[in-house]
Formats: sequence, structure tokens, C-alpha cells
Amino acid sequence: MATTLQRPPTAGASPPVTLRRPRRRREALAGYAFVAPSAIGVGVFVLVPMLLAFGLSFTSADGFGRTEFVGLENYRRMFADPLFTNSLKVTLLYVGAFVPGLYVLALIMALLVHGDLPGRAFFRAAFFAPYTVSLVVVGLIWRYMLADRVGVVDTVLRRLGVEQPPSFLGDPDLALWTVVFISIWFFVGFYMIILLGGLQDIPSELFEAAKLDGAGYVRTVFSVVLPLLRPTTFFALVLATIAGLAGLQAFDLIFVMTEGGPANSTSLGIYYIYQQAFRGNQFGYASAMAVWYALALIALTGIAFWLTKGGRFDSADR
Amino acid sequence: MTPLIVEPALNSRDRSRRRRGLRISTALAVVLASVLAFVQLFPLIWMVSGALKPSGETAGASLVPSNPTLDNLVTVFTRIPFARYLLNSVLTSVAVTVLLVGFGALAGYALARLRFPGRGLVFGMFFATLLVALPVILVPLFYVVSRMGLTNSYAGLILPVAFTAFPVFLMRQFYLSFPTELEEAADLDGAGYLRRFAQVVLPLSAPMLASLSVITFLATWNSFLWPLTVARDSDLWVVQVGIASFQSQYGGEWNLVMAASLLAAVPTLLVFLVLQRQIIESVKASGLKG
Amino acid sequence: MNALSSSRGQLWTPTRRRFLTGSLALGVGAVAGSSLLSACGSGDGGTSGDSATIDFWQWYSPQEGGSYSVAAQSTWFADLADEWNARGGAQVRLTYIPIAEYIEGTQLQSAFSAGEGPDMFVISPGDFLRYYNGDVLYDLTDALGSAAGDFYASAMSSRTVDGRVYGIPMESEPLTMFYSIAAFEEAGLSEGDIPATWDQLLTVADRLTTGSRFGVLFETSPNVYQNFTWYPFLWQGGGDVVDDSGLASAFDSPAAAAALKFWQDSIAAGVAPRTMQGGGGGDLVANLASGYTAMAQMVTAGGSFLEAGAPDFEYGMFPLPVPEAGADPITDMGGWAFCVNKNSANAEAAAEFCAWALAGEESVDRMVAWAFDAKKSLPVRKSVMQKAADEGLFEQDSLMAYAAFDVVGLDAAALDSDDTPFGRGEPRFTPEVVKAVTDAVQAAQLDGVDPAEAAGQAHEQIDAALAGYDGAPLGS
Repeated sequence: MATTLQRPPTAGASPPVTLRRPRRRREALAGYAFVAPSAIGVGVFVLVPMLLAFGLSFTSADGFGRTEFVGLENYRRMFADPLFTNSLKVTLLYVGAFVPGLYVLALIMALLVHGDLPGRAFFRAAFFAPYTVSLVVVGLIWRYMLADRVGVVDTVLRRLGVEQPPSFLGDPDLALWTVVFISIWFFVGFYMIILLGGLQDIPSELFEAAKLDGAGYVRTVFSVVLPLLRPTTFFALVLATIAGLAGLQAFDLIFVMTEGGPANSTSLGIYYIYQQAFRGNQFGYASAMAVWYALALIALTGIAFWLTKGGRFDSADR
Repeated sequence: MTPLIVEPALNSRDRSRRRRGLRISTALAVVLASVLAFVQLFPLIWMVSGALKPSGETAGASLVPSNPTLDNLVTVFTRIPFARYLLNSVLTSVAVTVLLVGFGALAGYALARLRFPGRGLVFGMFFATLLVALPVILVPLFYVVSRMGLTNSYAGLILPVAFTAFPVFLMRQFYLSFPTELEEAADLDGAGYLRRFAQVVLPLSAPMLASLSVITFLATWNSFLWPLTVARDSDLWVVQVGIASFQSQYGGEWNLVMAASLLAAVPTLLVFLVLQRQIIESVKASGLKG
Repeated sequence: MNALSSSRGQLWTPTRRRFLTGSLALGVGAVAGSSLLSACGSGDGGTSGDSATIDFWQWYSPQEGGSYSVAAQSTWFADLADEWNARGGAQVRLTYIPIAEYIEGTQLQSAFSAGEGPDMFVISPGDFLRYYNGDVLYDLTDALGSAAGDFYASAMSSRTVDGRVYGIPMESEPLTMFYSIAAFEEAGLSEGDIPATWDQLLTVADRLTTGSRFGVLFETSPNVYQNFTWYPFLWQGGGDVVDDSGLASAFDSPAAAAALKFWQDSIAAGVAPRTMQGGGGGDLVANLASGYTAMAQMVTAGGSFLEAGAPDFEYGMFPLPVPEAGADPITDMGGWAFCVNKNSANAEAAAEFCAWALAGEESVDRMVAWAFDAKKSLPVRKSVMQKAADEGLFEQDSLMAYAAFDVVGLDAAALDSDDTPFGRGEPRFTPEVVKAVTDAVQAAQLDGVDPAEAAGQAHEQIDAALAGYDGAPLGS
């Protein structure tokens, strides 16, 4: 920078002495101009709604234009609402099953396609393929496959001698796990690629050294691969947890497959909020719950960043 | 398994034992991978099969339709304005991708390379919104958008989802590790900041921008919640909303539902087949540098 | 759709904005977001703000194909609009909204939330209070005038608040049971085996259940339609959701527990499905004609959907079973009503249209056609009923005779009586109360929760929801 500063711009005729400030100012102006579109857009469509949610959460907004200030009523109601508590429970169960299941399966897939497995490119594409289809389509396909009596899964189970195959989407004890399974099926390819990126950063000599030591494959994974993969693992887990909590994938699935049922067993927090707002006309109450979830997400993000020392996921071990 | 196999200089006995081990472990790996690939691919294949079955055949477990037909696909086009939905999806996805990637790169560049007062503050704002998921702000966003008079319009479909912190963040990271020499050369020419960005920086970030574009396009094409909420008129529906509505109307006819699903899935599956490498690179990039 | 902009005055947009050419503008990367906003013009063909258009949302026309599609119904609506429009004045334009959007969707609500509700729409009693309490329903009493007396009280009560009418009913749809004749024959059952009590129903359902078919079907999707189909069983035992005041819960009762247990038993015995095919339990084509179930509950109009969707399918009908032999087969009468958006610029013209279409002197033949030819739902007007009887239509149409005299228990000799012995109008509830009832039904039916406990929980939820309630009374 110092060298360029001493040189007058070809187009400008100003003497070198006064160059510093106009150049600075031009740079600052350019900076503002460059960030303006994104900053305004994010401000209007993300920040303002965040603040508005906060404001609405103190009102009885009903979606028909009537908005009265009700103080903390919505928050009081929230903690007395068994369905809100239920939605929290469902969300935590969902995340608790989704994240570990996703990680283990994604890791297995990543390890499989990392080496010189025959047909590696095919397998990598196959594992990833579900992720390229929309969740609405995913929901429809699985509804078709899991339909009671009619679906392929039911038919095959009965052919295998199961007299009363379970209703995967109609039984409250199974529906959530079915949604978890389908979420994992959909998302595992994405996380496989993320982990694969981490694996490719591990120097191959380390694998070789472990092999020469006579370590078994599983032991090598645990003693060499996993420790070195920790930053990527951490990133993947945080990403999956936040996505799971916010109901990013699950919403579309639940919308298409279960409507939150049976018996509210798949009523994730985000679905319950949506239901209260757009079906129950409880915009104020829905906003209070959204604020609650947003605060939880922010807290979680904060913890994640604190743990990773400011988001440097790759700093810990290298 | 296979990633761990090396071929150091071994004596012949060791080597043959090695090879046997290699064969067994490779075989195991192939079997495991095949099982997983089957689980991942079967539902997609089942969709294709269902889409080709005549209406009487959809129940049961036969994969190959006995009387395959393309009628279902034709029926979907005649029963609902599917072409219109496709057009809306293309318009929306392209517009969102251009906006997100274009402005994201611009802002990311400024935050990485240009010095201006308040830069930290602006970055902080982006950072604070990085993980705010759409579902959480759906209700107030809908309020804001309807207050702006944008519900039920293309602007309403596009603008509210065309500005997020993620691409800004990603591109900033990218430009932080970008060589400065070329920009300096442009500076010597006296090029303005915008020209410098457009003529020097952008071309050099093309691979990164391509990756980001592909994944943004896919995500927008597949998104459902916002288009569902903001577009009421069916002539503004995107493919995902269209098929969700289609299934509630024709839910009893699985062959038609699968045909509609197939039609909705084909564009992204094609994109994936053609741009597999870019997609995978972009996932990697978003994972490691974020 | 253009006329939407004129509704709801507090709205922030004078015209609806769209930019059809948006993608072109977006190609110019340097266009800032804010300038884009201002760049979107109204590209809606120039009809925006045309005050003489009445946008009418309903789920019949224009459409073709699908589970709930009957050409005669679509045509009836199209003809109705054409006939009105030919008279000049405000023009009615039909906008089709899938029925699923009505039952569990958000299209109508979010239109109102955005201040762009339609000028007119059809509404079921289950949704009436949402819009009444939202203060968007136009008072139709004056437009209706003296014609109001021609309507059966059971159909009018749920659309009336403090003596003022906010929706004009077009039909009455009593719930009944449908069965597949082929399935009965296959199981060695005949007409004599048709069940009359809950226990008999479960026994017969058991005999009808095979590896690939369920015996009987009750709705399992958690929505307002499920409530609608469950209320008769609650009422048969003397139970109710709210008390006579319509402002306090009456849900915690042995009758509620018994009705919950009835549905629970059907699932526990494995004779009823946990999930529905097609467009929900009311989709007889996907559920009954397809062989998924042998018996199913649906309004009598199901007959018209079966005739259109599965013309070769042979079916029979019988009244809802009762808890004890000899009890009255009380049923629930649904049905759709025309409503007008209070904030529409054309509210007055729309109200006039409603009264002309459904209540006027000259509309009698039209309403006979709707009931007998198009929908197979019962007329809600005494004069229409009488006209049909005079023309001998009940003798020609056994389904309609069955619906009027067996299901609802009307007296053929006194069709102008307000007495509907077995038929009770579908009650109206707020979304919160609807949800509380749905949750109780779901918990007992699908989650094995003790019925009395589920009823008790719902009771508390309903009372909590009504604690600060200041809207119109609930119930029927």
C-alpha cells in the first residue's frame, strides 16, 4: 500500500501531498458502495424481522390487522402451554437422534470413498444424490414407499412374514424416528463431502505409519483419523445441530408427510410456530416462541464460537 | 480399508498376505458401499418406477412396471400449469443466485480488502445474522414483506431470500487469502474500485463464484417454505409448491404424484450429473472455510 | 385477483406490485436492492383496481381432475357466475383454491394477513369464528332480508351472531357410513350384517379386515375435518365440547371419554388404518373404491365424488352406529356457506350476489340442481326441499331420500319444520378450541392415551383458551 500511495493516479492531476485523504475517501466510498446492497438487504429482510419478532411477541397480533400490546402475556402462556413443551421435547429428540446418526453414517461414507475403492466416483455420487432432490419430493417419495398396506416397504415386510407391519408414519412411537431417518438419508451426502474434505487434508503418511505399526483399520480410524479430523467434525456437528434445531430440513418433510402428527409426535418447534401463526392466527404468540428459539440459537452459536475460539474450527490441532 | 493400503517394499510372503488382506478388505468395503448406495438410490429409482406405472399398478413391490407408460407425465402437464411452475422456479432461482452471489462477492471483497470506517460494525451485523434461519423469522418477515406490498409478487419471492450473510462471509474468507499483486497492477493503471473488481477480481474468483452459484441455485430451486408463504396465486407458484398442492389434490393417484415429483426432480438431478465436481467442491468450500 | 388490492383499507400498497420482467432487471448486477423495489411496477394486465370485479374463492371451479372433482359442481359454479355476470354490474370471477388449502392450508389466512383477502369466499362452520372474530365478515342480514326465514335453523345458527347473518349456507352435508358391497360379499356378509352399534361396527370391521384391507376408516389426519367427523359420536352419548353458554368447556365427560375410546378401539384392534390414502379420509375414491378400507365415514356428498371418480364401484350406505342399540343415530351436518369480505370495495355488490345466488325466489331451481344433480348434499331451504319433494325427486334419487329421511330423520310430511331429529349443524369453534379437540382425539386414537385423561386435558385447554375470550359464542 505504501508504494502505491506515493504514486499519483494517472487519471488524477492532484499533487502528491493531498493524495492521502482523497484516496482514503475514495476507498471508503467504494467500501460503502460495495457492502450497501447486501447490508441493506440483510438489514431489511433479516435484521428488521428479528427486531420485529421481538416487538410482535408483546402483542396479540392476529393477522387480521388488530395488534394490541399484551406485555409478557405470550411468554407466560408459552411456558404454560403443554404443546410448546412438547415441541421442545420433539425438537431435542430430533436433534439428539439426527446429529449423531448423521455424523456416523457420513463418516463411514467419507472413509469408504476416500481411498481407491473400485467405483469410488459412482459411490460418491450415489451417496450424494438424495441431497440434490427437494425435500418436498423426498417427502412424497417416502410417503409413497411407507404407505400402509399399499407401499413397497409394507408389502415387502408382509412378504417376509411380518403379519402387521408397523405404520411408520401413523404410529406416534415411530413417526419421529421415521422423519429422522429420512432427514439423515437426505443430508448424509452433504456431510460426507464435508468430512471428505477434512480427510483429504490429513497427510497420507500418517495412514501409512499407522498401517506399518500393524494397527487394525478400526484402530487406525480411532487413533489417527478421528483426532486429526476433530476440527472438521466439530464444524459438521455444530452445523448439523443448528440446522436441526432450526428445523431447516424437517419442516418441509413434516409439512408434506405428517402435519405434525400423529398426536403431535412430529410437532417440531418450528412447525408448531408455523401452525400457531398461519393456522391459528396467533402471530403474537408465534413471535414469542420464535424469539425464544432465536435466543437459544444465538446462545448456542455463541457457545460454539467460544469453544472454537472465534470460529477458527481448524485452529485447535494444527 | 482401501485408503490405508500402501505398497512399501515388503518381502514376498508379507506381500501376498497383504494382497489377501487387501482383497478381503476391499471386498468388504465394496459390499458395504453397495448396500449404502442401494439405500440412497432405491427411493429415487422407486420414484421413476412409480412415475411410469399405469394407475392400477402403483400398489405393491414390483419395481419394473408391467405396462410402462409416459401418460402420467403428460397428465401432470395437462392437469396443472406445470410449465408455469417451472418457469417461476427458473426465474426465482436464477434471480436469487445472481443477487446472492453477485452482491455477496461485492460485499465480501469490500470487507476483506477495502478499509472504511465502520467496517467492523458492518461485519458484525452480517455475523450476527449468519445463523438466523428462515423458519425462525418467518412470521415477522412475512409482516415486513406484506408491509412493503410485495406478497404475491416475483419481488416477494426473490428479494427476501436474496440477501443472507452466508455468501458475504464465505467470499470475505476467500478474498482474505487472495493474492494482492494483480489488484496492485490494476491500481497502477488507475482503475477505479468497481472496474478493478469487475475486471480483475471477479474473473479470478470465477471458480469460487461458480461453486457458490451452483449450490445457491440448488438450494433456491428446492426451497419450499418461503414460496409457500409468500405466493398465493397459483400463477406465481414454484415447482415445489405446485407439487405439494398437486399431491393434496391427486394424492390417491401415486403414479401421478410420482410423475410430478420426477418432473420436479429432473432439473436438479441433471444439474448434479453435469456439475458434480463443482457441487462437491462448493460443499467442501462451504464446510472448510466457513 | 386484481380486486384483492381494494380490500382492507389499512393496507400499505395502493396497487399490487409485480415485476414480471424482474429477471431482466436482475441481470444488471449493479442494481441495488432498494432501487429494485421501486422498479417493480404493476404488471397485472391493467385490470388492477377494477372496482367492478368480485373475486370469489371456492374449491369447485374452474378445475378438472383430482379426488374432489365433479364436473357438475364445477359447471354449476361457472354457470352461476355467468348468469350473474350477464345481468351486468359487478362481475364475479371464480378463483379455485384446492380443498386441502381450506381444510389444512394457509392460502386464505395469509391473504387476509397480507391485507389482500378475496372479495368473497366459501367457508365451513369450523372456520367461521376465525374470520368473524378477525372482523372481516360482512353483515349479510340486510341483503338476505325476509328470505332468512326460508332456511332451516340448524343451518343458519352457526353463521349467525346476535341475530345478524354473516354467511349464507348453500347446503347441508350430513355424515354417514359408506361400505364396499364387494368387500361385504367377499367376507360373507350381507345387508343383514350392517352394524348399528359401535360394538357391532368393530366386529364387522374385524371380519372385513384382511392382509391388504382395513375394515373401517375414521379420519386420522390432525385437522378440523377430523373433529367434524368425530363430533357425532361425542353427541350420541350426550356429550358436548362447550356448554350452553358457548363460552365454557363441557368436554370432560363420560360421553367424550366413550367416544374417544370408540376410535381408540378401532385402531387398537387393527381394523382401522393409522394413515389415510389420497386427500384424507374424506377421499372415498382413494380410500374406499381403491380397496384400502371396506367401510368409511363421509358426508352423503361422498356419493357424488364416488360416481365421478370411480363410476364402476358398487357401494352402500348406512347411518352412523350408536353406543347402545336403539339410540338416535345423531349425526353432524357440515356444509359450506358464502361469505363476503367486509373490507372489500365491492362488499355490497358481493352481498347482493350471495343473496341472489342462494336465497332469491328464482334460485330455487338452481339450489335443487346443486343438491340433487351436482353435490348430493341436502338443501338448507325449506322451499327448495318442498320443490324437490313436489317434483318427486326423492323417489327418483334413493341416495338423497336416504340422506334426508334416514340420516337426518326429516319428516316427509312436514318439510317446513325446523326439526332435524338426527341432524345437528356443525358447530363453530376458535382455532385454539379446534386444536384442543384434535389433540384429544389424536392422543386417544393414535397414541393410546387413556380417553378420560385425554378428555380432561382438552377440557383444561379449552377453558384456558376461553378465559380471556371476547368473541362470538361457540357451538352450534
